[in-house]
Amino acid sequence: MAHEGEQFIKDIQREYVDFLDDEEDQGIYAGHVKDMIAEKSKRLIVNVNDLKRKNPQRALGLLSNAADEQLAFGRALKEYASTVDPGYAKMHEDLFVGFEGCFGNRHVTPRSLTSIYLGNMVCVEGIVTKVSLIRPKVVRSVHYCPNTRKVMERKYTDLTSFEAVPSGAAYPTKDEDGNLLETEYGLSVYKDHQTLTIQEMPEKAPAGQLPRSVDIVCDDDLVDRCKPGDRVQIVGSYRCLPGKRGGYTSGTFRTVLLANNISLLSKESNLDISREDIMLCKKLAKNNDIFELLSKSLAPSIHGHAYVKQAILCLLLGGVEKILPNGTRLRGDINVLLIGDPSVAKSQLLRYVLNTAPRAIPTTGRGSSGVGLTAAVTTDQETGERRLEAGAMVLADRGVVCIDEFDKMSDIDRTAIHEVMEQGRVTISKAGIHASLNARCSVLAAANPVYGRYDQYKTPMENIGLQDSLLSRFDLLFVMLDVIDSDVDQMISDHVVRMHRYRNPKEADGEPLSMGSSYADSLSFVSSSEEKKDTEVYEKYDALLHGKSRQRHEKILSVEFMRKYIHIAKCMKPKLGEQACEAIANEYSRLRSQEAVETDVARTQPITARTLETLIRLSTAHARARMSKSVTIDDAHAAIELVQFAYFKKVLDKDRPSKRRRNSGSDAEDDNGEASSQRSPSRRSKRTRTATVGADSDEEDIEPPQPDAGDLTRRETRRSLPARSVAMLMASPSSEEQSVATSTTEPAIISDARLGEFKNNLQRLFREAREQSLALARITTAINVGSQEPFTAGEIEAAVHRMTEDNQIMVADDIVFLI
Amino acid sequence: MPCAMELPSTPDELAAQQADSAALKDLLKDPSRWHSIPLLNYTPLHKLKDQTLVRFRGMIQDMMDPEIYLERYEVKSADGSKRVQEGKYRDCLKIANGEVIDYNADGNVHGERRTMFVVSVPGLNDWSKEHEKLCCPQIDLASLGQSPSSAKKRTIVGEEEAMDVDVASETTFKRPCLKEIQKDSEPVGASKSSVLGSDYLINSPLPDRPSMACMVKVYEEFDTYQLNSLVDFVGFLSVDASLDAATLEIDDCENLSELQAAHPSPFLIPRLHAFGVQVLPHANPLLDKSLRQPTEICEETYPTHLAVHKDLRMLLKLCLFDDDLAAEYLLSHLISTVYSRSEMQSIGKFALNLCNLPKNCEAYATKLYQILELLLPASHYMPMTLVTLNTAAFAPKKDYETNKLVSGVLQLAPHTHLVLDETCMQQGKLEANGVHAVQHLAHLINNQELKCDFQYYQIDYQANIPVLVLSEGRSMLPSDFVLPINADSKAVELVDESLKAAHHYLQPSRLQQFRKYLTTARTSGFNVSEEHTEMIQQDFVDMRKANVKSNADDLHGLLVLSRLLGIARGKDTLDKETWQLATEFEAKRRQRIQSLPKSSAQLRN
Repeated sequence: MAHEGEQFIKDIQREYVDFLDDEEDQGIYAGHVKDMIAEKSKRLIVNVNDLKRKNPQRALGLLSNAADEQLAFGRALKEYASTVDPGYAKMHEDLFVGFEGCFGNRHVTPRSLTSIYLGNMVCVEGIVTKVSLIRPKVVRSVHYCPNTRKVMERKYTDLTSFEAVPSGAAYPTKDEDGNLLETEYGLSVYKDHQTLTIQEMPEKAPAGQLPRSVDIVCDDDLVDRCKPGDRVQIVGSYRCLPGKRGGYTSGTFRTVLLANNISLLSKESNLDISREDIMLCKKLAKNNDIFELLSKSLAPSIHGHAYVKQAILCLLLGGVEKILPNGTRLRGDINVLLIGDPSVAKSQLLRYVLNTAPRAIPTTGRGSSGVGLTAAVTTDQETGERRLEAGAMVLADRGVVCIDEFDKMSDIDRTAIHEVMEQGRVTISKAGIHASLNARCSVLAAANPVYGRYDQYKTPMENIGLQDSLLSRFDLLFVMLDVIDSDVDQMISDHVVRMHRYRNPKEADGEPLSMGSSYADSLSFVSSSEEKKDTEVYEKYDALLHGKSRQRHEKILSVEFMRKYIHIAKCMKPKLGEQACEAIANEYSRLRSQEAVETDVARTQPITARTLETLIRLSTAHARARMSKSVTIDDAHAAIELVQFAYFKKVLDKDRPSKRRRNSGSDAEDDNGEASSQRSPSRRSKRTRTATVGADSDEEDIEPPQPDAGDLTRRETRRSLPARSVAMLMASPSSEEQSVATSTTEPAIISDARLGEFKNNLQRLFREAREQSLALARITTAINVGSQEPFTAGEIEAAVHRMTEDNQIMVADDIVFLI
Repeated sequence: MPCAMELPSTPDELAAQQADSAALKDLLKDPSRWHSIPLLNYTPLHKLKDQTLVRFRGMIQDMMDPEIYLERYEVKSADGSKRVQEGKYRDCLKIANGEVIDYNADGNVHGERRTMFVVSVPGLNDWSKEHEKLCCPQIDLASLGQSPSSAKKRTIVGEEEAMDVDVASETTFKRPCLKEIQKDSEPVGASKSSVLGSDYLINSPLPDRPSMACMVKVYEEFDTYQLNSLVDFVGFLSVDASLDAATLEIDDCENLSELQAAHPSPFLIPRLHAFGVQVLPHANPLLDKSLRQPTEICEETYPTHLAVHKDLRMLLKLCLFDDDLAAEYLLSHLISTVYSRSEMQSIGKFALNLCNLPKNCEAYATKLYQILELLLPASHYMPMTLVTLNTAAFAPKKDYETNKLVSGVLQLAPHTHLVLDETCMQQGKLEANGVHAVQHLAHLINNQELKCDFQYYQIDYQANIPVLVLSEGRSMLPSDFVLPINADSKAVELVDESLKAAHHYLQPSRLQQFRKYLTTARTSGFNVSEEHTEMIQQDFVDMRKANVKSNADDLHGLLVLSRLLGIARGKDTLDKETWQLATEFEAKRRQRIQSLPKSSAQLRN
């Protein structure tokens, strides 16, 4: 029988040699073998799909009868390698074959790896939880007998090798005649040996169950491939070994996976994304209203706040991060600040993000937050109240930090946030050690207004009460007001009551909970529905749960699907299109100048060069939502719409608390949209004439590196940014406009004395305004107020021109920047 | 007649009966048969025989990796004859001297089973234990009286059918050799198992109230078992000394601790091969159908639901410084349960913070707990001192060295009440463990989820643990309802007397009523009809108009409160009266919070 088995192995070995020797065909594996020899590697990775194509019978055999076939394949490889390079093959005792490719139903998790797969080759994914030391294992020992002067050799195999019969474990110290043997350690061959334990990934374990694990045996070149915490995919043959029991027979076995290929998966907790999912997402992305659909599906239980949801969607998707050749990083993370009355579902939105985004970390402005940190407990003498004084904040690299009660945050933490939000790292100086840690994360913060409730009669800046330097780091800032609206309240209460009335469909409606149908039953129901492989795209409409708050036809994406969609969409790296560039540039300059124009609307946030980046990031995120490769003008408009909504907030003159805020926002948007569309053709015609080659390239590339200095210096350098980038984009129109202006008025000359006076006035003006930039028109009027000798337009122009030449100010798009 | 079939008393009998095991399992559906099986929890191990049918009640604390075993195997004896053996429901394969197992025989069948680590319900109060013990078939008493020399080693479990008198006829005798082994194994275990202590192996969630542990091997439907759920297993006991890893010759030193954790001494942690299982909806033994209730209680006539409610409220009021509102809230808290989860919210939770406790009442919190302890089947009192927070293990943590889920204080069965005493907290520094502890507590209160630490990641497990926080000021932990107690100054002086009176008032029969009432109320359902939905919505809209600060969370609170108030009064649907009561209570509560002295921190904000 043993002979028969050996014959069978010989037969299939020949088939495998045929498979490897494909020089006449495509030469793929012949090439691979040559590469293997060139790299001095001992393992050839074979794609199962290739084998399936060429020899389906062997492929099937390999999967279901792993031991024999793998042995034969290994021998075949050695045989073939010795024809290619006899020397190399002789050097190694064994050459190995590893597998990759599609394993179909043999692609399992530690949970689904059941006894039916024993003897099969499977592909398992999991997290490495335990790694043993690497130990040598003797493969062949050589012994010398000084008495008989004979050399003897022994080979060792155990249950983890593919040879059918394991050799005895006895290590010879005497030969048959009782003569002592000496081991020739130099001539003996050893191999490395390591055992790992991998555990089911937490996201795949059904609810209420503990993750399962499986032991892996690695030999030779596979040892030390992974460390605890790694997510790996391991291909190997599953087999059982007799239990590690000594004295009695238990009839239980230890099961192990003999690895033949280990590949590391990304550290990110990866979702179970199938090809179908991607197809489905792509199909969905073709819908025109995908952005709306996605944003609507965010926290469906919170009504309204459409723009806030859109912004949060953008935050989840993120812009594209750029690392310039000199190492400067332009962040792609989008930061959002929600400011508003207590109880406007800010915290709920935060909670939703926490549940949707991978690596989302919750913190509160006050209270404990740290991992591995200490906090102090204090007692309030008056009330006997115990309080926790905050520890420091924890950040997640490549994640989202959700900060509740941002306004209550200590100044130290807020300073740390500064660096995190722009540079994406934290610097720690402690005990002489200076370290920078990556913390590239988006920040979603919620804060209450300064006066507890939002005061509609004060400007947004006053209400927010945070420094400009911090505010400018937020891409978007939303003021969420608690509007007393009985319709909305009706909806909210309807929803809440429905949630309380909702019962699991399994329970008979109206019947009291019987003793039998228990907590555990309802849990198992939940888990079984979650176990279902394919994710439901849409949330099921449940009349009892959703009621009239949601129309039956209205589609809401399920959280699970959202997660997948975002994950897939995040892989896109859309490029900024030309039209989008232009629209953003126009919008930026308009925003900069808008302040002077409108009176009843106040900005919520300073408009700086960061706004420009914001626009780019938001439009990129929007493009991602569409799964598009390029950022189009539509994306830009969507971004502009968001910025328009977020940056301006009406200050009321009289009592008018209503929903008009939203209307006014969109009205303004409409106006702007029209305005910009009207304006843009003319702009474009001018630009096309003088368009420089560089101006159309991606703006982000033009940005000079940001020096990592203190905030003050940064502010200065940053300040020059808009001027430069805008100057490059706008250079032609503005100079043209200027030249037009010059031709109509008197020649632009100014005497030195007058220039001095102008300079003084200008400085005073800037000081009074406490601004770094002022519109030219405003300067003109302000300077001439109360002046005996008003400056003519020509004089001002000349003065500005000279000051620009002296690098004291900079003019771009009729805005004067102080340098 | 179904009686023709008897429950198998050993795995051998099961194999011998050749019967469909499903039919045998049906036999277990007969409560009397179920009741007659001795409870491992309350029977000393030496009074049970190896491989007999026993029961174990407890909470699933850990689940181990599946195990592959020989379900059917061939044995070759020395003379060359072969025979097929069943390997199910046993740890040690049956082979006689000189026989060898043929591992490669074609007739061998491999099966898969999974080990659940079950601990007796953590935090089970003394009265529940006593009652369970009372319900347990008292085989020990009977057998002790008879001569131990009888060599007959059989437990006839199926014989007596719901006849209490028959208990005496049960003939279970301890196997002499078992005791010997026990004696022998102890020193052996002590010498070799130095790596892991027995406390670590038993893994009690509450270290100061040790549980009993049992490793239950289940053979089917592995994935229906949920962590932390309560179960009642029936199965074959397996206490062979050779199961102890300490008795093995170990060649592989590296995995010694893992091996020991997986194979502790069977006398410390017995094995049970599950044959039948019942999932328990609650821990109250008084209402448990899987226990044989002593008959005498049933004779009493029960007072009405409402009467019990009134009495109980009176009692609580007495203990809470004559504060009626606090009594209502505490009662609601005692019957609260998470009954639905949707959109990341756990609905029905009622975390209560009773604050403004008078400062001059020594150890009031512990005294109050002593009353609650008498009423609740399972509860745990935890003083929130810095030492406790900094040192105790709160959430379970996976130990990869031993492959065990090391338990924590918060790993409690559903409906186990956690009483946190914040009054004993001192000023000082909270270490990393303490900060984590507070986080875990806050997470549990907010989401009714328990975060288990798997070192490389964390997994949330759903929990259903009502938390009551007793504090002087507002608690530093979150809570659904903060209620400052309005202590009557006279009542404060008399608090010791009142509590004594309360203890005196709690006569056994009255206690039984209260206990049954609380569990029945907790598990009963409640409905809100369509018309009342309208009313609630209208009320909410009005409420918003009147008070801008009210929000959806307040509505959640109101709904939960009205549900519990309704249930407490024996109603099964919401009516206007209850709703108004809830609104009124909430308004009163809010008023009390308003009048609380503001702490400096609140003023600053």
